[in-house]
Amino acid sequence: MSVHTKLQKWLEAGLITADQRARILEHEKNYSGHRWRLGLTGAGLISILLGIALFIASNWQVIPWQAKTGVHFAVNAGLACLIWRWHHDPARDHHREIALGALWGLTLTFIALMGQVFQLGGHAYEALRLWFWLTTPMILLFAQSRGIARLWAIAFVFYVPYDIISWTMDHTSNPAAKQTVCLATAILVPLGAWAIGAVPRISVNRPTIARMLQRLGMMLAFVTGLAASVGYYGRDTFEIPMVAGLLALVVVLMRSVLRKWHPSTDDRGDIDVLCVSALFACLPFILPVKSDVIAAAHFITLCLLTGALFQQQGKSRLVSMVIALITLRLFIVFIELFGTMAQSSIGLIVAGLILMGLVRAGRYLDTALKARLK
Amino acid sequence: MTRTRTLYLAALLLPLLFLGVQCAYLAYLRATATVYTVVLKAYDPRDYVYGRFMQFRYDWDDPQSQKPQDTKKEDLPETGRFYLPENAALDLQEMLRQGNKRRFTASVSFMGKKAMIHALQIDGRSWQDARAEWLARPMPAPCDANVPGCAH
Repeated sequence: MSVHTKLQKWLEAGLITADQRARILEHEKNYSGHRWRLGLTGAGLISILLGIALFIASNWQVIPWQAKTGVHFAVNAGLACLIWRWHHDPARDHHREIALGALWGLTLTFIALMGQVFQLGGHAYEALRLWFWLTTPMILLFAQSRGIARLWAIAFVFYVPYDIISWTMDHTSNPAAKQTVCLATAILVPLGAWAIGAVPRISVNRPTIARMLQRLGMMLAFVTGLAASVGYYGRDTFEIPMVAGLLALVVVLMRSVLRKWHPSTDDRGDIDVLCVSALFACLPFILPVKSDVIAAAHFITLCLLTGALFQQQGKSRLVSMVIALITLRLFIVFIELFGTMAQSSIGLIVAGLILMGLVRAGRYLDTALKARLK
Repeated sequence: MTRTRTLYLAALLLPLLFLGVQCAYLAYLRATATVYTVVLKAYDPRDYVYGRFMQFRYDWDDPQSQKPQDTKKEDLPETGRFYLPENAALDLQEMLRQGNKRRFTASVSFMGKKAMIHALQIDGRSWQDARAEWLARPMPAPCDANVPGCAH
């Protein structure tokens, strides 16, 4: 529907006046003209950059390594100069953020280039480790926009477990040691990310990064707790019930400490979600049984508990997400139990009816809970 | 104020200076380090997903493999990778997999337990020449399914 039609409908419904309609149309006209020009310029720039990239790529083997590393270093140095120059210029905020993002990414490509030129044969996690820790001070001090701050927080939350787990897989063949490190990482990294975001100095000076770290930490813990239910399908043999029990105890202790340090209701709700998820991540390691029913019960119970906590905090979107997950999991239970029946025509009809019933029940529950939140 | 300025400048220059110095150091090592010739053998399992490089195992037991004196076998790298242009990686991996027909060697220098590969040779020639010859080899005639003994 075009903006003209929409505005006409709103005008007829009495939502806006004729004057407002005219002003909106005038604004859209100016904005569209601007967008057209910027869009074409952007497309032209992308075309030029692609052309340069293709030219370099097709001649990659004949370019001497000194030229490759020299030009790359010069580009990085040029970007660093621009960032420094625009550091205190509010008119160039946008430019500085783009240059910072480019330098951040190009530092990683420079590390990869060095690995290729000097045939170092290192691992991807080693390159990522060097890149992340070399660039972190620069990003934390210079990044002002939400985009870069969020990207850094995402990189932190995903890079740290990747590095720890990859390093462990490379350095030990002991399955118990591998499982211990994986479980400890799955529990402690989300808690650590949340705790870093809650440090007053970070939350005051870098609020976007702090908020993002806390949100990502919480979601990562929740997803880990849910993913742990796969352990009950018995594909892996868990050998660390004692260690898992010890880690669960550490989680309980951390809950008390964190709740003492962060007395606000919102923070305490987050801490409870983190700790409940972490305890559920430990469960398949403490009780290594093989059962589809327990796997489903694990998943649904964690969803119910975290859903109740989200409900207490008034996070209606997360409540909706949890209800959708429970609905989906119940349908998977049905498929697991009567999967062979679904091959017949009657089975397909029953599956369809159950799915529709579950979706309807889920929506009803969602609406009822949201109404209670209001 | 000056202290904050220095801190910001240091954060910005850290990746540049660190990588610049490391690059110069690697270039220096490449130019000056003692180079050893080591025989290579196929690496199993091969990792086709990664592409763009050839994976291999160093054959330290081969009498033609050179290594630094007084160095134990455990202190030497077991496996290595050699970055190659697109398409060449799979060809060389295949040539290496074919076993005793060709002798793969690498010129390497050592940085602790890691090896920096300077060049890759096949039967004493550059890998580019050997690959070109391998690609130009006569292909076997297509197999006729009606002929007994034709393998598919």
